[in-house]
Amino acid sequence: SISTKMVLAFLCHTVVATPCRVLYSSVFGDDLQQALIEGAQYDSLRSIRKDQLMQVACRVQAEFGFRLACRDSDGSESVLDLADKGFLRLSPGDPFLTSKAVIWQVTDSCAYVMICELDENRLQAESILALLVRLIQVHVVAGEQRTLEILLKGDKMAAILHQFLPCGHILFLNSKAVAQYEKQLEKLIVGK
Amino acid sequence: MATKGDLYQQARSVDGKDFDDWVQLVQNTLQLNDRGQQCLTLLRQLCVFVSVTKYSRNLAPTLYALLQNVVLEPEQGPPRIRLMASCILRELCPSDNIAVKDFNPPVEESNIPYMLPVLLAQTNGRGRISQLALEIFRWLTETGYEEELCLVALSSLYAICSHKRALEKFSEDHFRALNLQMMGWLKQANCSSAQMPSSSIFSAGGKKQMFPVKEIDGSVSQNLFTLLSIGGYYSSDQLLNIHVFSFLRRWTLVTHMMRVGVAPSPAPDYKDMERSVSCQSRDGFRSTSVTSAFNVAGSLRLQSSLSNPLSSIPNPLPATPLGGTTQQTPMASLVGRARQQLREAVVQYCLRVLDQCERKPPKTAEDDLALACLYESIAILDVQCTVHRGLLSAVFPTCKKMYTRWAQDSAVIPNLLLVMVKFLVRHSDSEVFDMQAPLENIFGRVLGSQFANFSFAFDTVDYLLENQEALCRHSTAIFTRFFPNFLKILAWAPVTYVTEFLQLLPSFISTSTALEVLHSLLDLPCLAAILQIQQLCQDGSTKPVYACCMAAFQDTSNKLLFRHYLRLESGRGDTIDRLGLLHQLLGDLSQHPRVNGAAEITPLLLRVYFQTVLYGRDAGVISQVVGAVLERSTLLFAIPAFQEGIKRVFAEQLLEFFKTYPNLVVDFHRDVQEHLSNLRTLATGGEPLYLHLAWAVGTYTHICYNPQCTSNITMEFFETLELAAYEVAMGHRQKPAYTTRLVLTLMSALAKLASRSQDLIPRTLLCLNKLVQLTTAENPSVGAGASSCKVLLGHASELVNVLKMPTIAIQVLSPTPSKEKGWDEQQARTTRILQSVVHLVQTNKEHQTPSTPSGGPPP
Repeated sequence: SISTKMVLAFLCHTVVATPCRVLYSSVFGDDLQQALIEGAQYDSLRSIRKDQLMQVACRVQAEFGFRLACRDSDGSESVLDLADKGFLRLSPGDPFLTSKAVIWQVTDSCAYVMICELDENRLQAESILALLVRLIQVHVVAGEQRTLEILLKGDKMAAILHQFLPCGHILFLNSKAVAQYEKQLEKLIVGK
Repeated sequence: MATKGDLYQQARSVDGKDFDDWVQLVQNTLQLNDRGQQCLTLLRQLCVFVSVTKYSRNLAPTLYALLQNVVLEPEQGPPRIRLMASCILRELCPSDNIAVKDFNPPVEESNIPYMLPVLLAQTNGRGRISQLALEIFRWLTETGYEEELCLVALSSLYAICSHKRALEKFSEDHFRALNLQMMGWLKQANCSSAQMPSSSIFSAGGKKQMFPVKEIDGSVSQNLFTLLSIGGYYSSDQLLNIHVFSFLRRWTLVTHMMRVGVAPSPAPDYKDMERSVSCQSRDGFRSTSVTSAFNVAGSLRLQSSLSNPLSSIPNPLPATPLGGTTQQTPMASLVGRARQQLREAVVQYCLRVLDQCERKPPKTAEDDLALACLYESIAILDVQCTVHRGLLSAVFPTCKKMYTRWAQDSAVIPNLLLVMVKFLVRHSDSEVFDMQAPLENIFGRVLGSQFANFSFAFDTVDYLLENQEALCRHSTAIFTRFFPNFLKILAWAPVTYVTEFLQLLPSFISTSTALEVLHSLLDLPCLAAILQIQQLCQDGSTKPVYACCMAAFQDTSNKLLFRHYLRLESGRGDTIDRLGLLHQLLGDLSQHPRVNGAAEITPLLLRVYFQTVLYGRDAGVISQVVGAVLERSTLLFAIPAFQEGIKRVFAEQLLEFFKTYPNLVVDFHRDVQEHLSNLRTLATGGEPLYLHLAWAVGTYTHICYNPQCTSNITMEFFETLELAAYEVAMGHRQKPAYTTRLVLTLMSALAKLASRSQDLIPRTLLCLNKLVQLTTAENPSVGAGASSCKVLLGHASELVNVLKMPTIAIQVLSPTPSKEKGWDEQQARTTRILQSVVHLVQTNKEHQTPSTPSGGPPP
């Protein structure tokens, strides 16, 4: 009965390059219970966390690869630019103590992933993920280096999450509230 | 432009003195008061250096302290610098170097929100989580804190409250205060709002003008403020109202579980909850107070439109205080009252949201939000009703009516239907509601058309897994009835759900469905192919390679064939007549990734299937399954790797079946014979199956295993094996060659049969000699061929020598099964006999310790 949080982590990673690279990650949750139970040293917890996130990223990459292969075979245009999204279930102990839901969206060859508790409202989580992706596109990926900017402009990523996924909390924001928060976000990003 | 790989590698490779010097530069910059662009650039680079590797960068504790100061202390630069510092610290978590003792000055209150994510990422293993919870409590309940801090504090509490130790320092008074606070946020948010401040320099200054908030349809709101109330610029009380909505479900669960003494868990365990609820009912629930609460913010439109008699709430449950004593202390009473007030506010709020969503015009900017709110409101009501059954009579009829309307509306998204079905099913016992129809609808018709909807597929699999035990107990037979539909999810997304279906599969199998499940699994690649063609037809694909498949799919003469695979429910158990034809029709799709994905996972599923069937120990079912396995081993979709994989599993499992039920060899003698007489069954990985069948025939064609075993059957088997052995021996030197193991197994099987029917001994001796001649004709003197010749010669001579002494042969080759004696003992006995035989016949010295005398594949 050890418990964790609702949105455990948010991450962005590459989907077409090998090896898979995590460009940005933010962990809100108590993701290390499994490691603690297994008696991991405190010093190694960070590296375990990184491995866990990489494990999830690789699964998303595989999922997307499958999706892409199917699309290729179907003869539909191989469209990396279109938003593609999906869900995954992580089994208990693999890599987190309890089962988790993974919600992902691929835009511009970058995967945006939320790892949530199973009882999270996935409809809203999906909307928030789409919103985060849109904001990242506007504020972060706009530069010449595109997805690489996610790695280089950690402050902007942090600002977006701070405003729209505070402490991993999935909010039910209507369009007016989103507009209001976007103004605050702009202040945060350009704020002197 | 650097590629990602390059940058990653570059950043990783910066180490040693270069890196230390650079870090020193960062430290120096942070110690200066300059918080400009250079500082930001350095911090961004630091973030990259830290985040690209999982190994420690051994940063000095001073740097941690400096970063922490930047995040928390006043005059440390603009928010983006603080955010960057917070981002780096979070990236370094968990670390002993990060510690916030308290939030007293010089910590600036407005900066605490930047630090909270760092504290959350520190993990709770060592963290001072209960202390943090108390701080959060203070920020939430005491006046005078900044709005921003309250909002982030609420989110932080949401994140940590389910941790088993987070609320351990909370007293009843803490809970009471928080419950009342939340109730206030839910009920007392302002119903007017200011205009969004214009960014134009010409915007009018002065006092902000307030406007009433609006409903989604644009009409002026007359009712309670909710997250669906459309305003201009939301004030802090309104934002708290919006934020607290997503907090309600978790908070209800956590506080309830704490009250009943169960440590909170991430996934609500409703079973435990129901048990605890049934043996305790802590709060008084007075119908009058609920009714009045509902009437506070004006009469609910929903109430009248759905003619929901809220006043008909049943008598309150007897109130018992916290701690389980019968005497209610004044404090417990206050706590209970606060909880009750919050509960009333929550239910009122959720019903209001349901009402707002129901009255929403078809197309608005809030469409997605309205769906998510409906979903959340139903889920909250579900939790509330589970915790407090007294609410059911008020909530259930509303939900039932909504469901009835939704079930007939194809525009309603399936996830919503499912969450409503969850609610109805969970409470069907209390409300005497027949859950059959909703379950049939959702897992039949709806799933039949929505299996490719990723979101719904996930929800369905999740529901089935989380409720697997309960659904198996119900008389609704969901799994055994709708598994053909469930398998569509798997066939469509085999990579995604294989683990989940390995867990679900045993629930599909019953005495009546075992056979159908087997066929469905074997046809999983076909199902994937058919679903794919269906999709291609719907999309109007013009890819020439699939033109034939698509034409076949649309051909009316094949309609029944395809409809069988697209069926919603179980009921057709047998091998279908035109399976070969279907495989041909689908041939062009055998390279499709979806079909290959399904083919790859089928052997895994089959193993679980056979384990389940064996575990069930139902002789009737096993008999059916053995028949089907023999039949289907030659009727598999034409993907070589798939065929090999399936036949390998068949071989292993048939052996298990025959060992457990030896009588089946004779029961299925016609099928077995047919399989053995057709050497084409050896193609594409068929040898292990063939070999195990031959072994089983040799070992179990015996009257002591099956009274139906006649000399005729033994004779027929003998003749089949004899013929097969000759053919195999002749082909032994050809390419691709049959293995030596196969020849050895056939020799042993023949000798075993002969040992039981002694008329056959002369014929067997002749046959063994001929086999040796044929297989060792070329007799290479070196290499693998030489050693195989040696083995064949040795084995044949052992068998010949044993068969020359019929009374000993029957002891050695056909030991009677003994119930008392174990396998080891029997083996030991056989070995003893054999040793004496060896001694007697004085064969040549190299065969003095013969191995596996009974021959064949060691089981």
